Amino acid sequence: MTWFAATSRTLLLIIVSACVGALYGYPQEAVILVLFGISGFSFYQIRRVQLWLQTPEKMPPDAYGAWGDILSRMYFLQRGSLEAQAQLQDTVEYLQDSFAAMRDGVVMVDANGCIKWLNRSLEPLLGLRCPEDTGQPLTNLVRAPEFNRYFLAMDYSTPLQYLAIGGEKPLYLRVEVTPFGKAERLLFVRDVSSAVLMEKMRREFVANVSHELRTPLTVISGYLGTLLMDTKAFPERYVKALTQMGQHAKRMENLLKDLLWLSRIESEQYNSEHDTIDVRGLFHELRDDLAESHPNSVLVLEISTDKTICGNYPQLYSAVSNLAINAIKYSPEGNPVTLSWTLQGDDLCIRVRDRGLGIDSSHIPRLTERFYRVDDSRNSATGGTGLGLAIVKHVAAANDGQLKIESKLGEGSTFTLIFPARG
Amino acid sequence: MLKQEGYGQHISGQFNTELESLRNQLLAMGGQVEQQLTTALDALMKLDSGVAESIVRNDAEINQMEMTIDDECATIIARRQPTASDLRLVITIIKVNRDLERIGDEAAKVARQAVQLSEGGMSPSSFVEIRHIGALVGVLLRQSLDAFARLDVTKAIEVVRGDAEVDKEYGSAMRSLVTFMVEDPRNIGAILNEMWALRSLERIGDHACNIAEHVVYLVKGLDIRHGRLSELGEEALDI
Repeated sequence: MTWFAATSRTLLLIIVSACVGALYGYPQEAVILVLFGISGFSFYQIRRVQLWLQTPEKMPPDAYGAWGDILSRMYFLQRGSLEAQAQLQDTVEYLQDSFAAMRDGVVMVDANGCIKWLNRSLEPLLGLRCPEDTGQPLTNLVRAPEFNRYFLAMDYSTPLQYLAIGGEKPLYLRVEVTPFGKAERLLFVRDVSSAVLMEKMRREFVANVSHELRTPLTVISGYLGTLLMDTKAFPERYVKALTQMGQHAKRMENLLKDLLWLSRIESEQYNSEHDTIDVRGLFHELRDDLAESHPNSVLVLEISTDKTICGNYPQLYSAVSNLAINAIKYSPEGNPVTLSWTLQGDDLCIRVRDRGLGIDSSHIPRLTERFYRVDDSRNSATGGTGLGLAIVKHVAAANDGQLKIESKLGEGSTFTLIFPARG
Repeated sequence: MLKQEGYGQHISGQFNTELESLRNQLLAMGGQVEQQLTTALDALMKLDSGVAESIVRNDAEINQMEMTIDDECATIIARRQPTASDLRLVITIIKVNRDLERIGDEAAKVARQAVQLSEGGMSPSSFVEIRHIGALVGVLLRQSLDAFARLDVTKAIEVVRGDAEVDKEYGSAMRSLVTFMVEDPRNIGAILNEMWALRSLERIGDHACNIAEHVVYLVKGLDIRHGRLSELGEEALDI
């Protein structure tokens, strides 16, 4: 019943009571009596509403007039909000369940670094207990120094991979952090031990194979060398064959040497001894070496800084010499190759520049892959192993640097090793 | 009984932050020490003198951390005059700090033995004892620090009991190493190095046990050192 109908009905009741009262000679008393009755009824209704609101899930009491309308509206409103709440709760639980069911460990961390929520998969990974550890600072329970440094540095551009301690088997974890909200963070932790071990096995395999192949090859090339010393003992056609065999044995030796060197750089990446490298001295040593092996080459040195870098000398020497020999090979005889050592802003650069053939830009991204060749026809002419740039890239990575390649077809190429300047 | 939020109820928010930061620093130092121990054991197994020497160098970092934490504890006592559970927390931190530093020293000693062993070659026992006791001690140290982080008395008691186990294993390891010495006197040099390493590991176990006892003191206010655990009985701890 609408408010208007209820109000007019009440008014009508008052008027009727006034008329009836007037008939008997007590109009005022009758009106007062009826008003009492109406207000008493209202208070009774208010009480019933109050009682109902204590347990609002139940159906509301039947009520007369506008009260019934109000009660039914209240009932529907609150039932709607209860349903919405239940639905939201379901969604939240559904999301948490899906995180909880993940095989990867998931932790949500608040702005202070305390755990807000975590799933059960973390127990075997980080040793966190679910749900007792909620509220604890994450770094108090995951105490690996490497993890703490990464977590507190707030720079999550690259995921962290580290060897977790404790437990019988080595456990390699990969941690990815996504910041969200106000300095809150979502961490995904995954066990990557099998991938790491596979990678290690692959590296060791390459190193072992190279090593095993070297012994028989030494015997072959040794005998070939002896045979070739006295070429008159053989007919002409054998001499040619033997000479070629000798050349290819030499190439294979170089290949194995490079493979071994590459796998050594890779395995030393994490625990290499660092010493201070004087780049000026390195350049001079390289120039002397190249003057012997490539007498026609012209090497120009440009040294504009006296800074030194921290790294592994034999590795860095092999990288720069690989770049220089490449530059000499791929430029016309007599064209100068420039080695420069400069400080650019915060970076120290070793630059090897030639004015040779240049490389098409489509090849540049793949240039440092092992055995990648721009042009197969060059293969035998230059006698390279196809591993040179892979070595350079790995040396750069092992010494905190990076390799940048710029080139234009016909104008020459520039290979730059960039290292961070310290102190 | 000290709850996780026990010291989160000060009117001075600054005091809370100071205590919390002190605890975080101590546990960060704990992490560093754990890492030193694991790396030292690894270096010993692989006889890698390069890694072993880096551990000896890193010990200076841990010593520096100890001094910083000690200094901050003194500042807090002087400026805040902590009482009740706060005082127990500061006292515990001072003691655990010392134990952790000692564990760091012992780990460095293990590393020094690794350097010496790497010069002399493999020991005839192939480090079975060290591997076994090292793993036990590593777990004890981790559990004791976890118990401190979680204020978990049950775990702390487990650590105290675990240390007795380590002592027993240490005894039998010593006996088997003596047998090796008797069998061939040429082994004596290597075996002596191994014994020193084992001795350090056993000491680390004792320090981990101390940390666990401090945790009980922190949470319950009860001193269970020097075998008083059995005297007091489980009921006193109410766990």
